[in-house]
Amino acid sequence: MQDSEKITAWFELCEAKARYCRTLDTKDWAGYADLLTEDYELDVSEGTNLPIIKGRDAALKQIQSSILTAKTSHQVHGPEIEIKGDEAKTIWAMQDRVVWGPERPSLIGYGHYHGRWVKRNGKWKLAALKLTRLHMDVEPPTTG
Amino acid sequence: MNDIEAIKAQLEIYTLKARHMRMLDTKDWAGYAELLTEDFTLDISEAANIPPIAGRDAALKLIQASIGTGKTVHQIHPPEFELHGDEAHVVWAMHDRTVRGPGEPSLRGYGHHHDRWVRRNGQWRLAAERLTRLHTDIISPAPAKPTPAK
Repeated sequence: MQDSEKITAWFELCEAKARYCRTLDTKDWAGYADLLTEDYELDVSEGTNLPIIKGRDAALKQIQSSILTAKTSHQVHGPEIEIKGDEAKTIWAMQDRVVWGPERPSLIGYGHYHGRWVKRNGKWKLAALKLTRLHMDVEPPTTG
Repeated sequence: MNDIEAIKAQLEIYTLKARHMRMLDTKDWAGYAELLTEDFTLDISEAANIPPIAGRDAALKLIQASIGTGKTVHQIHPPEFELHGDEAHVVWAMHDRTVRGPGEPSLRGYGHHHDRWVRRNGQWRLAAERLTRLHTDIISPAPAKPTPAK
């Protein structure tokens, strides 16, 4: 793999990750699903105690049910990216803000996204994602 | 240094800086030390009112002591790079959250890391870091649960 190809892959991955966060936060589920492989594996066991979720459809269902009525904002910071041909491993520092409504406390969370990406038909797709947590700030409901 | 080499160097340093922050926040001290030169200097004089610290081991000792059992989160934002062959000067906007424990105030800080990176045997290492602060929010600990009325 040439330097210029690696650099291109770097920027493609950064854009794919930015799209991942935007489609999640705007609840563009078709756009979100388009970034995942069919055999996608989601590991949010740290913090939720859920088992690893296997398959894009199951992962989507889980995510939708946990944030469907919430407003979310996911931000990613300083990535570590390792590219080997059509596969890439990434770690992004992340912060998320989740607001459910006036009755429930809201969250500001901090952690890392550990991702595995594969390139299929010229597009990077997320094949596995694991979330680890550094800290969660629980904020009291603002009104109500 | 041609354009491709310069971009490659920037992306290498970008990954190492992200790693540096992650090692700090997960308290992986071996992984953290690996990213530093032996003669690493740490200058947090602006925030902490202590003189710059010379040497990786001394810097590490100070960082470990000041974080202790607290939780930290360091986020880095758009860098400014200045590359000169095997040396790079980088300024990163930085946001950090520090939570020490129940009953203690926590911090949300904003500032910059001014880094000097050097390439030795093909590997970039952090040779110096200076912290400047824009603002620090001190957040009062959550109030203790009210005692039920008698």
